[in-house]
Amino acid sequence: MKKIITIIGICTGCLLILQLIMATVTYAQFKVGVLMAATGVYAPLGGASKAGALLYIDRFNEKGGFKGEKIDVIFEDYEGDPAKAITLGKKLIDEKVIAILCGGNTVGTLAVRPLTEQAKIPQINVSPRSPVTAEDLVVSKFSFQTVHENEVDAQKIGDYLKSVGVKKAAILYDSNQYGTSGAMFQYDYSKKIGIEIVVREKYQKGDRDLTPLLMPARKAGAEAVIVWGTLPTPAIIAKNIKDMGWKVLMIGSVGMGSPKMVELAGDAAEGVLFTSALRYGNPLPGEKILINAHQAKYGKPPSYFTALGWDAALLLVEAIKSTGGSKDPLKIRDALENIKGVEGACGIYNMSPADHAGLSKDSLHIIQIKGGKWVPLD
Amino acid sequence: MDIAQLIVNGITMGCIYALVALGFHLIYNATGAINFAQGEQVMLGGVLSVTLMVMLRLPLPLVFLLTIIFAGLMGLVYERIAIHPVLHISELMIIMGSIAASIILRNGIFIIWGDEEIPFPPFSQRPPFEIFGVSIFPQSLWIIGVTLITVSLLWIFFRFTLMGKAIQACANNHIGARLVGISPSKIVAYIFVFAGGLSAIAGIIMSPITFAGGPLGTIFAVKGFTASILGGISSSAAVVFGGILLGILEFFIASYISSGYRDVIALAILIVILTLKPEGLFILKRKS
Repeated sequence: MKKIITIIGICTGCLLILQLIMATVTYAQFKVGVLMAATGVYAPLGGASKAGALLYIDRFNEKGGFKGEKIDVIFEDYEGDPAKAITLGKKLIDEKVIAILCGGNTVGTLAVRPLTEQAKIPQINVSPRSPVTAEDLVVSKFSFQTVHENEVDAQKIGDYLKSVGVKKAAILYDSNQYGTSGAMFQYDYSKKIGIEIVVREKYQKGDRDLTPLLMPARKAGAEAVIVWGTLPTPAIIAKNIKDMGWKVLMIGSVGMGSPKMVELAGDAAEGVLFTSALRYGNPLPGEKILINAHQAKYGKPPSYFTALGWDAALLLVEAIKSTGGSKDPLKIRDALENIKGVEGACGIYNMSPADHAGLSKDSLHIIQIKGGKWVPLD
Repeated sequence: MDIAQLIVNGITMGCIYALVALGFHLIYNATGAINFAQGEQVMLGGVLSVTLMVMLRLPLPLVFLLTIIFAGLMGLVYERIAIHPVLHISELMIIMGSIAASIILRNGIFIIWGDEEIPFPPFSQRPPFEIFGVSIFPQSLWIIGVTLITVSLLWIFFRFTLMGKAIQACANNHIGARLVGISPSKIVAYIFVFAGGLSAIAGIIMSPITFAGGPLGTIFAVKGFTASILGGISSSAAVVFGGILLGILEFFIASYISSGYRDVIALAILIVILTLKPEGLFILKRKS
């Protein structure tokens, strides 16, 4: 019996020493938490972002990292569940990561935000913060995002509609925070530039026939239908519009920009417009690097959400570089806030204390689906 | 014109709810329990048919036949594994068995087909018909037609065949049925085959509108359950009317009030009906 206890004792001792050694070894690296909704309903978003972030980090490590120091990723999947996001976020903070790349859905990133604020660790989100109340509009000191603010997206859509002479439009939006926030900005901005919003209706994710919402819009003489939501519902809206025999301009926010749109809506997607940070057919240099890397590894072009994850990792690396390889989360946060003119796949980032998204209207493009392909209009 | 259009679309969606509700009704009558795997069985119909149709390019009638047979067999397997061993213990055990089956089925579907919606081509590639300014999509006609045929076949089966009558006898009185030589446990197995097939039919015909797979199962199970309670779960005609009523109701609420409050209002109406007429809206009071 005594023997067994001694053996167990020695084993535990060895393990402890090993752990200590491991801890010092990993300390020489940048420990970064990646907290994404890689499975569940938001898998097409969070899973793609995870792939993008890891793709960038792998490339960074293969090239030897920064002065020989590499990024050590701790990945956690919160499955789109904010409660899980909190638990896993705490876990990552306990592991002493220097930053957390987070996202998949907005509620997940918002759930983690108070934790990173408290622990003073920068959090780079791939989901928009989607402000709804005045309280939400305050920029959190430690949260950044690689995706455009909904407000910028709404302005892009509004400007385009005005440029093609639309005077009356309808807004259909998802009842989640992303849709609600976007519809709010869309409504305010449209009013400002003189586009009358004749119908403003929310739908639910499970809705499978949106004709009852579209009919009042047609009756009210809407010349465009603006959709704020993520797939699959926008695809159903496109089908409903076609089935109604209604010739109307349909335009969506970045949430619609996925190859899945064409796949799900088929012919009905023809002529549909949406905003996108990626240009696909005609990429800008920053996007091209991602497309080539993704094509080489997965044999297909990246989705928008992959690009967001890629840019999150890219911004973090840029921030680390500008601090000269610091592992102090506070210094990295300051460096993130001072990022100027960094070209990612989604555009050129110019951060400031008031703007933690850093992307302007110019880095969004209006894309039209023509013959099942994405064609940038500007 | 708008009202007519809403009614047409409502009936279309309502027919799907009616088929799901019929599944609930059959199993409730046979076992006295609610089948929580109903939604997943509908999903199974959708993903199976999309595989047969898009990947193997089989003609539509064959797709229907094979999907129904396979889903029916799955219903049998489900009954043998999860329901049969606990059939005579209590309704609660049957419910637990069906919850287990629903989890296994859903995750099985997610593993094989993924958890995203799969596009499904419409049965006939025709532009919508215009009748008095109401546009009717060919798929609506398919859905309404298939539902009508299914419901009438079911009615004929229960009215005029020995097995149908045996099932009814069993639902009415377990012990009495056993006394005249009907084996209730065999009947329950048949019922699960039927319910599996019915769910599969719902899954096939709705997929061109709703897409196959994805997180839909739960939503349609809730809708079908609401429809069956609304109409009256103990009668097959009542659940069909309940389904169609729920469909129309939903479209009117979505159009005239708000899509956001649609489910809230539909469920509030359900509570009112449960209080005022707990046996269901379309159940005639039995002469006692």
